[in-house]
Amino acid sequence: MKNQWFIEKSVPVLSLIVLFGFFGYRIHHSTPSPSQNIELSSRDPAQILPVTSSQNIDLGNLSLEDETACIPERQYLKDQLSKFSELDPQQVFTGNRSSEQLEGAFVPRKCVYYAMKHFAFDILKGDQKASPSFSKCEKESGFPNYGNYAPCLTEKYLNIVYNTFIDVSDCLGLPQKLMMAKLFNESGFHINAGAPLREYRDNKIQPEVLSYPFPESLKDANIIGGDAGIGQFTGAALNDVRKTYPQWRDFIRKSDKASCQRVRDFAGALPEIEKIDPDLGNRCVVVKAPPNPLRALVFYGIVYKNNQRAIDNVWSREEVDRLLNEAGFSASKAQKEKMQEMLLVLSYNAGPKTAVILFKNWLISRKPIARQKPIAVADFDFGIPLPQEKIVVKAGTEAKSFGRLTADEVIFLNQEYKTLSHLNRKTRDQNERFAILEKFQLHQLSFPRFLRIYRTGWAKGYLTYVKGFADILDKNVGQGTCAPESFLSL
Amino acid sequence: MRSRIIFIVVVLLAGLLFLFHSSKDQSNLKSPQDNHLSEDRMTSPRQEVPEMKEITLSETSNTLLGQVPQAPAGEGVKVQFLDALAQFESSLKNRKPEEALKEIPKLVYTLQELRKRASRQGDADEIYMDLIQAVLTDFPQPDQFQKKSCPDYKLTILSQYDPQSGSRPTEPGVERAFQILEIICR
Repeated sequence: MKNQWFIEKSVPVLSLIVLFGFFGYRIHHSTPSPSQNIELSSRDPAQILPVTSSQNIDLGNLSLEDETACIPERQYLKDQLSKFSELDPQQVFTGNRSSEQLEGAFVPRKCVYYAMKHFAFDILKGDQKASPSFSKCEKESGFPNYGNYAPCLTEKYLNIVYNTFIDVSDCLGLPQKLMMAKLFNESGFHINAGAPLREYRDNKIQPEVLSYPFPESLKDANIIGGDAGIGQFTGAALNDVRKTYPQWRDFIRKSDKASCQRVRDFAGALPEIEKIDPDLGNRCVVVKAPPNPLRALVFYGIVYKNNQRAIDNVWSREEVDRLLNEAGFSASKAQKEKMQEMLLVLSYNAGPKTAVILFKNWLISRKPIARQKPIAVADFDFGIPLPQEKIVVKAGTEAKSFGRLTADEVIFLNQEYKTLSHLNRKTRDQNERFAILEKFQLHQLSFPRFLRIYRTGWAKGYLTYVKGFADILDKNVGQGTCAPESFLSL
Repeated sequence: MRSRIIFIVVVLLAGLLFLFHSSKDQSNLKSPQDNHLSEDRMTSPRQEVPEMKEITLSETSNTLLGQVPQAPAGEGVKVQFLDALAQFESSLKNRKPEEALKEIPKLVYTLQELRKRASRQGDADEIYMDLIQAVLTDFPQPDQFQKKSCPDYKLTILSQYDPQSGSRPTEPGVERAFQILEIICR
């Protein structure tokens, strides 16, 4: 009787086991390439970031190009830079400044030189071919003409870019090393850098590069790109500049600083507000020289200040200090500033308010495990690589790396992790799968990993990507010379 | 006796399915590996790709499949949240923008209360709902609304929540609230 009962009960149980066995999970181990740590650029998703050796670059005596030695296709900025010189008879921007004149400089000239050269030649190969990331503007109005070679990297060009960068950052009180890393990532300090126009459809950036104006068929399409100039301005960013521009223009006009004086004295650097047009058809306003790059750098600084203020406000509104404590992290003032710096960099891609909302939700996600696993310094480190393993989430589907997991898959895998961790004895297969899940740490995500999962869109690894640029500067120009020490970590 | 026969048949069936499954795993092994190879070759031609190993989970982990909810727990509140939004949206027809904007604080309050009553949802849903609420809160004040400023209102939302998008947000939560602003501005 007992035997029969056992058999009757075991039939459905065994059937279920067979059924689930058929749809079982599988995993596999693999080693992805190092480049997987470098994510898509906000500027051009197709670009990856090679790290080159500094052997060919003479950083002591910068090996600048002679205009006449550059091929004609690379000489298109010549006239505009000459015009810049005419408006600068004292050569405060076009000349080589003395150390006294560089009082406000915390970043040496070789940093900007390295960024310009690496971006144009190593990343875009702009010395060998035309790139959709270099544009031309004949006038201050109109849409840039994309698809050009890299401009000739002359001494005049470098001086204008470097001196305007130093003056604007000193005048507005911007952290130069942070700006250095960010502008390297945005444009490589090229005044005519640009993001090609592409359609965003079905949650994807379509590969075809579009020209402006768009055909009638794309009237209602969502077109992304068109970011222009040294600061890679979008329409939204230019509109943001307009909000506080009058106050900042007054600040620069009234400031006693020599740097501010030089900025305001340059014709066109501080235009009438009407000129700040967010329309895509007028993007040359932040590209054409002169007055760019001076004007575009002032605008970039204003966006920085606006984002900083927005982050401060949302930080207080969302009670982030309290959430940090509840997640088990007693942050010092300096650590909070570093966190805000991360959000500030993120805000160029996600927007300041979305950046804080993401941060807030990460802190809340860590609250339930605050006792067992309080947030630690390592949870803020964007230099820690993602696990290299891949995992098959559902039978019959392709194995996925960490960065490709969806939010639902994380819930699914976390449930599995929980059950496996309660098993006293595991089979070999279970142990191996458990080990992968341990490495993924889905139940206690660090902030960089949280962003990889929950930041939507095409820039999940944006901060890791920006950090990659700072790492290049550290490696090739000197640790801490150009980019901030412990950039994007506490 | 009859149960014993059923038991033997089930065990045999289990064995057969197991064999079938193992052979299927072997044949599947090729495809993902090939994908992986081509992916690596695109980025790092000299990278050596280790042999891929596939592990089929044994019964304990497989039975988990039946325990894991297919949708994030507490899906209900998100549905209610979106229902409230949709309801508000449909009430906007033939309504003056100023009147619609006057109702926004009430809508935000309703959404907040709905969420307060429920337990915390999955992180993705929480972010989604947070963004919707935050964007709604940033809508223009009714007494300051001017239709001609609609492009500015939209760009302001984009700069604060999704500056890299084009003319419309690509972030889903921002996009959902943006739709409401578009209706108000229409």
